[in-house]
Amino acid sequence: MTEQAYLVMLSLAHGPRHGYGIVQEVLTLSEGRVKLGAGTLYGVLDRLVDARYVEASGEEVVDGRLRRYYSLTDEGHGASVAHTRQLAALARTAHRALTARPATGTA
Amino acid sequence: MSAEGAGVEVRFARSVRRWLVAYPPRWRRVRAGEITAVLADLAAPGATRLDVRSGLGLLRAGLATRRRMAPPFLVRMKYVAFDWPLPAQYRPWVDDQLRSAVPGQGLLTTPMMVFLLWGLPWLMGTKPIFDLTFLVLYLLLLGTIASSRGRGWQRQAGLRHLVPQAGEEPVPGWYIKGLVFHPRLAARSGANLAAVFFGVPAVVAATVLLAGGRLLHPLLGAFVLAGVPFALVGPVRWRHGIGRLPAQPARLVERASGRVRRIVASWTVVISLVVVAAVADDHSWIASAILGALLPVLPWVVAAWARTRGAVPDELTLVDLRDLTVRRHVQVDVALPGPVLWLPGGAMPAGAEHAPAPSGVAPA
Repeated sequence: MTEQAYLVMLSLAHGPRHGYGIVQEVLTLSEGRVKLGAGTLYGVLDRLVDARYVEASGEEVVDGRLRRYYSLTDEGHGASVAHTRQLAALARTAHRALTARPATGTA
Repeated sequence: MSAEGAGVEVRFARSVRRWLVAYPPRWRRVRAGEITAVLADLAAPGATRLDVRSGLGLLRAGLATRRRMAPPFLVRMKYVAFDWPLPAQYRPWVDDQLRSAVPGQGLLTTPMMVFLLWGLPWLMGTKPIFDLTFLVLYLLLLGTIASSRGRGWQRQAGLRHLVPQAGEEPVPGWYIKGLVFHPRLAARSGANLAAVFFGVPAVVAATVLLAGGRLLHPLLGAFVLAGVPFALVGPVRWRHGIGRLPAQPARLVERASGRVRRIVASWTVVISLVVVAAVADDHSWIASAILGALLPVLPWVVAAWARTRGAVPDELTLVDLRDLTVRRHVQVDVALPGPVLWLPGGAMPAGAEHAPAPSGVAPA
């Protein structure tokens, strides 16, 4: 799973969002590091919908603009949890590897 | 919802629509309004066009989407190279191909033929069969042929590739074999195009032949004279016939679309270039032959063009002018077999092959 796909799924963890809402939430989650363009966002959404991790969950027109909402499926929630565990395990392993590094010094 | 319907500034929506060209048509039909709204939200307030960086991102993502939605290579080749109907799950992709301005089949034949005529002899160390001028003209011609597929071709191709084949059940929301309107070009629009198509190459041919010191063959005068009677009889018969046009319930009268105008312009340019190249290459008989083919029709075309400068009924078509000239009466068009969309939840379209006896004409 790519970082962008993971962030999009996390952005939907608290409930359905529309495209612009996802972009904003991903920006917040990544602390300003990942700013999704519309092309990238819809590429990621298409793949997640194909994988049945995400589904369209209604649409409305706000200020004359079409908002289609997306939500995480149970399968998508499970995949997010599993990926988060993998990342956490990797982080612990990385932490151990880095703290076990022998001190280097000059004589 | 269309992009313009998304409550976005019209110029901005138009700009987005241009950048969305790389996406498959079926993706655009579903998502154009939504992605336009997101882009408008992301853009600076008051923006009237999409910034280039975002536009390039759309082009890249559109091509990736097109690749992702395409069938496997070998399946694709069955359609592109051999025109074989594909299984039902790939028909939406074929539908996209049929709606594209330049169908993939034309694009494939071009490099294949270039390789055979030019690349293969070069690889074998022999001289190419034709020189570079021929190659350029050939490419232009093939490109024009590939993009000249009009409604008739789309209708036939739709019957072959989109509707359920024998033994398959029709599915609501997809095409079914039914009856579609008979499209005809409106008289004024058609006469304008005919004047360009017949007039420009004729003038170019006559000019280059004379400029090249080649006398126009006396036979060409006979060709012009052969067409003059139609140019004289036509206006007389139009005077009586145009006011008594029959009802045409199965006909759809259209003005030439941008696509049709581009096709005619392409053919005009290609034929004119062939004429110029032929005279330059000392094959002036080719230019004379083309001129000879155009001249008998040209007087009638000029007469039709002149007639349509004045007031004509909206329902008058170029074909009607031809029929009145040749037959004295206008033929009533019949509906044509073609792919008709069976809307989900709707009744099966009238005229559909699986429906009871046709009760009328189903709009395409």
